[in-house]
Order: sequence, then C-alpha cells, then structure tokens
Amino acid sequence: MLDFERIQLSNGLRVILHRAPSYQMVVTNLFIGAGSKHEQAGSSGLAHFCEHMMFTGTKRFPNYDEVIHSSGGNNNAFTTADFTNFYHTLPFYQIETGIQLEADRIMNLDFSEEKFEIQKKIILEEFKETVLNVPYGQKWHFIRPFLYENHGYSWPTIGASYEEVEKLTLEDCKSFFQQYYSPQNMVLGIAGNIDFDSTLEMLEKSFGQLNQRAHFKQEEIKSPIYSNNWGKELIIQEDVPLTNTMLLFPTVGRMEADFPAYDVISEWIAGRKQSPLTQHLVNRRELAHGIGSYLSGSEDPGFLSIEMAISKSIETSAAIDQQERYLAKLAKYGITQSQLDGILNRLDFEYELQETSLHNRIFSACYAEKLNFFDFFTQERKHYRNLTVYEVNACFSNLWDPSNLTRVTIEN
Amino acid sequence: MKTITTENLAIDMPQCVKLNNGLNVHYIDEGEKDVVKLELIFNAGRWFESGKGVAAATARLLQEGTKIYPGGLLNEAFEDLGASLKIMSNGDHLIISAYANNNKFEETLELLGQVLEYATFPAKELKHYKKLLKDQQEINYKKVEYHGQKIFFQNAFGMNHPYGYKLQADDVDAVTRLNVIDHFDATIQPKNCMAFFSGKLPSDWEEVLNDNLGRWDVVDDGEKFEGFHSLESSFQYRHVKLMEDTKQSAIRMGKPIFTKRHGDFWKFQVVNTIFGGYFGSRLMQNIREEKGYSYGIYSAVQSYQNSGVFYIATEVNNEYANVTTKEIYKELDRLKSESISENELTKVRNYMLGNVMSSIDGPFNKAEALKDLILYGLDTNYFYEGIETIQSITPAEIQDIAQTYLDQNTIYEVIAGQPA
Repeated sequence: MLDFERIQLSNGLRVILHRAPSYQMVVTNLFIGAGSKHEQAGSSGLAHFCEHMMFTGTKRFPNYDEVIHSSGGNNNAFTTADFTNFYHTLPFYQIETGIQLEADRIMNLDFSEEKFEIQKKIILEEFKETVLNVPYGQKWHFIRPFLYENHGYSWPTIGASYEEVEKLTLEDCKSFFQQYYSPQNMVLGIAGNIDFDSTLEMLEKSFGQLNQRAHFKQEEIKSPIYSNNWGKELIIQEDVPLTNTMLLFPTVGRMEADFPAYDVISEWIAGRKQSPLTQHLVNRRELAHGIGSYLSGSEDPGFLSIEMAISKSIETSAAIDQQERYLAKLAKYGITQSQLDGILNRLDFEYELQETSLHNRIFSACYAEKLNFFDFFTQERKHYRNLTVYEVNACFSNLWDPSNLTRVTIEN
Repeated sequence: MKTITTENLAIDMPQCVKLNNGLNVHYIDEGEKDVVKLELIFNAGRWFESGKGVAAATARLLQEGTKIYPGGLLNEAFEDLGASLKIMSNGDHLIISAYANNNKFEETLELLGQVLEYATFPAKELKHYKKLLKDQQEINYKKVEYHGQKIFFQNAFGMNHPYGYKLQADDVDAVTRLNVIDHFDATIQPKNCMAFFSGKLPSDWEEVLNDNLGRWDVVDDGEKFEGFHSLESSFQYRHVKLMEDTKQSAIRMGKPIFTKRHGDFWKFQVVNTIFGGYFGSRLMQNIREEKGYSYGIYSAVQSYQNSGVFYIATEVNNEYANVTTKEIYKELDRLKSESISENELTKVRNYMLGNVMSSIDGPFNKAEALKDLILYGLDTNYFYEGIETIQSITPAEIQDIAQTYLDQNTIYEVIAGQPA
C-alpha cells in the first residue's frame, strides 16, 4: 500500500525508507531506545539531558541548528519515559547534508563542559517553567513515586527533583550516552521524495561507520514495577485555586493484546465532552468544572487516570462520592454497541488524520520497528475494529476493583 | 554556503465554485488519505460584536446543540461519523472547522447544515460557559505569562479594542442569549462567508455541498457592525505587574504594526526572523544559548485584518528579568546599527525559503497558505513577492526597516512576576 523499505546495516542500525514523491520536504527521524526508565535512581533526568546535549555540536558541525536552518529546514526532539526521538525536515535535495549531520552527532558529539553547563541552566529553567511555576505542575513528582517502585517510571522524565538535575555531571551524561546511543538501539526513518538506492548509499557512507558501543546492554526490566500503594490514597498540598482529584487504575503495556480495550474505556467514560462522566458531573450536577481521562500508553505497565477539577464551593468528598457511584453504575451496565462503534470511528479518524502528516507516518514506523513489530499499528487498527462489547466490559469490570482504585487529591 | 533553489516553489490559486446561495467555496483536490477539511470563515469575530465576549459566546453556543442533537449529542454525532467539528472566534472571524471521513461526507454535511440552520443557543449552556470561564480564570491568574500577555495587548491596542482585550469572566457575564442570537443573525450568512475545502474530495462533493449548505440563507437580517475601531494604545510604555510566589517573570515587548497588505510586511518578516523568529536568532542565541536565562525566547509578527502586531515573548528566571530586558534592547540596537553579515543573512534566507516550501507541502498545508492569501484579498503574486524579498533583501534595507519601525520609544514593555 504505502511505499516502505526496511534495511538493517551491519552495525545493527535499522533503517526505514518511505517514498512519498508528492512532498517537497524530506523528514528524517531518529528513534533511540533511551528513556527516563533507563535511568538509575538518584541520577534521573539523564535521558532528557542527553537529548539537549545532542544539539551542542561536533567538530565538523559545531552548530547543528545552524546547518538545518541554513539548509532551509526545521527540527525538534522529545524524550519520554521509554524513548528519545529526534527529527528534522529539509528540502528533498538537501537530504545528504541531513544524513551527515545526524550521523556525525551520534558519533562525534563534543561533550564540552561549557556547553553542558549552559544546557543545565536551560533545563533548570524548563523545570521551573513546566513544573515549579505552573499550578498542578508538580503532581507527577508525587504521583509517580507513589505508584511505581524499582522502576524508572517512578520519576518524571525531566528529573525526580530540581536538586537532582542540578547535581548531574558531564560524566553522568557521557556514560548514559555511551550506554544507550548505540546503533542496535536505534531506528532511523527517512520519508519524502527520495530514491531508495542513492539514499542507502549515503547511509552506508555515514551511519555505516557507526560502531556498536562497548557498554551497551539492554537492561532487563525487573518486576514487579508497581508499588504497594495501589488502592490507597495520596493527598498533595499545593497552592492551587481549585481542588483536583484523580482516580488511577493500573493498565497493561502498549503492546499487550488488552491495550485497545483500555483505550476504548478511557475514551468512553471521560475522554470526550459528551462522555457519561462529563455529562453527569459537569453538565447535570455541576460538581466539576472539567473531567478528563488520560492513558499513559507506556511500553511497560502503565495507568489510566480520570481527572476531575472540582468546582468552587463544592465539597470534595461529595464530588468524589458522586463520581464513584456513577462509575460503579457504568461498570454495571457497560458500554453499548452503538457507543463502541462511535468510539471506534472516532479513533480511526484520528489515526487517519495523524497519518496525513509525513512526520507522524515515519515516526510511527520507527516506533513499531523498535518494538520489533513493524506492522504493529496496522494490526492494532484491526484489533480495535474487532473489539466486542463483551471484551470492553470485562476489562472494565476487572479494572473497577478497590484494590486497584488509587485516589489522589491536589488541594490547598 | 549557497542559497537554496526555489524552482520547486510554485503554487496556483485554488479553484472556486459558487453554491446556489452564493457561498464561495475555494477547493483543493489532493491527498492520499480519506480525510477532508472544510472551513467556513465568517466576518463575525470581535471586530463585529456588540460587546465584549459576544463573538466568543456565539462560537461556543453554536457548538452546543441543534434541535435534533441537543447539547453534547451534536459533538457525539460528528465524532461517531469519524468527523470533528470545532468552532472558534478571534479578532476578525468566526471559524467553523470540520474534518470528515470522505466516505461519510454526506452524513457529516447533513449535520453541519443543521448547525447553520437549526442551532438553538441553549440558555443553560451560556450559563455553564460563564461558570467555566470563571473557574478557568482562577487558574490562569496564577500564571505570569497570562498576565504578561494580557497587559501587553491591552496597552498596545487598548483595553476595549477588539485586538486588545483579554476576555474576562466579568465581560462574558454581561452577555445575554439575545446578544448571541443578534450576532448570529447579523453575521452568520452565506454572503458574509468564505469556504475552504481540501483533501481527497469525494466525487459528488459539489452536489452534497449544494444540498446541505447551498440552501441555507439568512433568516433575519440583523444589524452588522460596519464601523472602525481605532487603536487606543496606552501612553504607558513600561508596566510591571508584581506577582507573589513566582519563580519566573514573563516579559512581553512589542507594538502594533501594519497588516500583511502593507508593502513592507515581507521585509519586516525577514527582520523578525533574524531577530527572534527561529532557533538561530539573535534573541535565542543571546538569551538562551549563551546565557541560559530562559528555556525559550522568540519574536513574532502577526497580521489581523485591520492591524498587525510585533511582539517578543519569554519567561525568565526572576533574577535575570531586568538584565534580559536590557539585552533585548541591545539586540534591537544591533539590528539598527550593525550591517548583517552575508553568512548570517544567507542562513536566514535559506531558513525562510525552507519554511515557505514547508508551508505548501501537502494538501492541508497548501490550503492553509492559500486561505491566508484569499482572506486578505491577496493572490499568488504576494507569495512570489515574498520569495523575491527573501532572496534579494539587502543588509541596508534590513537596518532601514529596523530603524523605521523599531524605535525603542514606541515599544511597549510588560513584565509580570518578581523581576529583579
């Protein structure tokens, strides 16, 4: 259907080429199996720091951004608990420059002390801007360690605390980089108006020179990863204008067969404006000013969170009580076929819309390839389509259990 | 470093079809996926409202139910079809944006037609909207960037100017259901609308559009605001809002400028890019990369129908707030007094040309770019003039633009936080 070719270089680097001749811009995406879950307790924030360091230059290209911009392109990167992803766009006739640039920064990053210090300052500002200076911004710093133990999901990707990030050293960064930025731990994707043969040639010349890192080893995830706090309550005191509550449930990892059922549940109960919980608590009873659901979608077991912003002058306990009573009702009566059909149509549409972007397409391809299951997303669509009302309701019944239900309150 | 080539940068105006009721539909039939986008843009934004918040309330209520699909059922009906509906308003326009699966295009358009002909504007929803805004405002009031933005636009344009006010809960409290209905009657009409349609269009699209949008017409011809809002800029060029318990301060600086129809707009865009419009800009390099004062700093130019704005935005560590402001003025001075190097200028040229290329890549991007021309009464010549300007602007012209438009004494400065 869509024009993809997959190759593996001799050093283990997996490459995906996607020909899309009607586009003028080529997207190059580099997916690294290095996320905050790969960090050690006490030195968190390294995966994100390495993402920043990737922009600090090599001898040949002292200024990565300058090369991209002066070639007419753009770039960005992000880090999650499971991986780090880099991408850039360039006019199609600049593709070779882009490939050389990416290969060079993987192989020859300068790691200067001066640049490291500046990036640290920037990251600490980011910490302030996105965590410390934002209402409810610190909640994950309390919730994650509450839910997880023995696992890197216990802390947010930006780092467990401001102080911990402040203490990170250049050596810490280098070791993390040496350990995880190894070709067998990466997938490179290129999409656009490209020619497979000449692109491969360029790749062999540059990425083909990349050696496997001596220190690379894929860490085994120890289990269990959940703490003993599930089913308990957590109260976070923060200077917030409205009390927020969260109901958290454990879910399976992204690749498990049951994941689509959790996604549907998340969409159904509180994912939309007209979801039953929203209708009941926000519109009819006016107990909450907003309700939302969030599914972590992580590779290792994650969580589903139902968040409620309680309206001013409403008793928190009254709102929670109503919420849980209504959830019990939903668990009892379950989802209907027409509700399920509607949700599946919605999810299909969102997927199709995403795939109109060349970047999303190649990113998904890299992600699936890294999971060793290239057809993951196409298969997953079928999985969703084949879901039955029975399966979804069975999943919800299992979920709706006091030993699972974890309550968090963020209040003044 | 060589300048990138632009032979591939070609764009044609979209074709246009007129529906039975006079509605103009500009369309682009391109794409690989079964998704289409339809946008209806009305001259029904703040500029045309009878009071603050009326346009926003209208946009909100239009989405809150029709006779057949009351309340949230309307959204649900859209989404169940694998479609989506968003209605929003800004300084100039009210915009109805729908994405549809091209296999369910007819059913989706039936729903859209209902929104235009059978909207009920429920009183309960208006009440709810007012309450929501109050709650949201409590949260926003804690944010330095919210206040920085609010005060900047107030001072630059005027507290009551359509481009200047930040909608407050109190403003919306005064809006009545009748205000909303009047606004709708006066402005949501086919003759006051431009439609943009893009993606992999279904074969019978023209028929479907005529059936569902081509019979809709004005019912009660309301009174539309035909006047002009003059700028009411404050004389207070410096403003500090002290806020407790903040670790950062928000800095907003800038001024009103011209619209994109102005002869200098493209040149100004180049100057803006050099100054703060991309990662390699003067501001980013100085404030973030060299000094680490902030996670991000940028400048932007935006055009509205009747004015434009140039602004600089950042959030910095409190202790660096005043120092950052000084550095921003220093960089403004550099633009005026120093001739830009060929190297740096080539870098900016290439970045901007790449951006132009990106902006027309793919059917939805292309539609967006063309919509932007048509809404301002421009055509593809504007696009080619832009490319020409980017390629040929000289260092002297850049200094000239900066000297003409970026006089320090005309720049508004706002800091919100605990600047030291």
